[in-house]
Amino acid sequence: MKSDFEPISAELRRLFAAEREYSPAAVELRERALSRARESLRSAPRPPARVWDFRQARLLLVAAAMALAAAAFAKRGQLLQLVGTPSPSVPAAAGPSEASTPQTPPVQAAEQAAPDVSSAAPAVHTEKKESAPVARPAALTDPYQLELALLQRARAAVASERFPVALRAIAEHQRRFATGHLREEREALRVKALAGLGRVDEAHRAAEKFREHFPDSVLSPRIEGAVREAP
Amino acid sequence: MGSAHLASSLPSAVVTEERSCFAAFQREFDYLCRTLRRLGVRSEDLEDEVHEIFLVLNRKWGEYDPSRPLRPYLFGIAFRVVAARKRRRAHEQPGHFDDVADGAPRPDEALETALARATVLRALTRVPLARRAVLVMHDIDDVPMREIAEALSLPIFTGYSRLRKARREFEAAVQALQKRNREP
Repeated sequence: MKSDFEPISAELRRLFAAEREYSPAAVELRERALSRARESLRSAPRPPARVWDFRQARLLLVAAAMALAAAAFAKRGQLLQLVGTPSPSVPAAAGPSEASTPQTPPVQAAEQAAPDVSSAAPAVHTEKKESAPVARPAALTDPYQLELALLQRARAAVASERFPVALRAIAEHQRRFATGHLREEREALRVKALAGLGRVDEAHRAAEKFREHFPDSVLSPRIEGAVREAP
Repeated sequence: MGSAHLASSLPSAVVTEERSCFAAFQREFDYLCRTLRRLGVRSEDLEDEVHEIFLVLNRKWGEYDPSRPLRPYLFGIAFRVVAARKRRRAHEQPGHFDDVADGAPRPDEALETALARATVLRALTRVPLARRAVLVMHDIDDVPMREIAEALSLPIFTGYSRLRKARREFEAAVQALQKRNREP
């Protein structure tokens, strides 16, 4: 339980307690939001793989430990052979590692000594360690990020009634991502922006096209509303 | 139809991840909507903003450590989504008390509780967003400051400083509201 760093007044305690008993969101809002979320999963690029999976990490650690042990073992075998063979012409004494020979590099010896490990996890090279792939932070080279950034701009402009700005962002999205993942959202915003500017005929045409292309869209009610309320 | 059809074309690991992300979103939906309202989002903007949260959550789901509590993580995403929206609008105006009408109280709801909640939402609009987030997490969601600092990427002392200021601002706003309500 968190400790109270400075106690608050009884009135604030009462208000906050009341606020904790908030009502659930409206059913229609929930249904629309979940439907949109499902649709996004269907159309969006796959999310990056989990960067840090604890089971994978344990497996990697075990694999690394075994590979190091095998490498150490092989080294020991080589040392024993060196100690046991004062001249190069004497054949190598039987060492504890069957897989290692004086000519076998330690890396290959480690891998040969631990075939199960290498098949289960990426091989750990003692000379050049390859780190596990790290997910790069999403940069604006990712097409989905670019699409999203453009449409966020358009949506913000619609929300603040800067409809010409919205149409410019929509046009840019159309030019760069004509068949992008978020074209449904783009066309919905187009209807709203046109309706907001009072370009009623164009808004109607855009709404009709929207219905044609996205007949089951969860955004349809809002578009119909925008067209109806156009100045 | 939705998730079964979706699942058929994806590798099983991805489907499991997406299902758990979607399930978490579904489970915490009411909390997310209420958090957005507390952070100043209007009712008519809720749907878009909560969808934005889902998009971010889905993208970042692989980074979430399931051994940590989920709500502070969700709050951090909600805060950043709302903050980004405010930055895009280029200016921040102090909220007007009438912007955050909470809708009619449910028939079975004590009027006093409904009025208290409306007061909280209105008073919160008078607290700047960065401080409001700390106040909401600490005093309403009951999250320890250490977790708040992590969710909002703050030093702990900054968190305490913001909480102190936010409480003063909130209390002043409540008093102003109550005074206004008493006036004829």
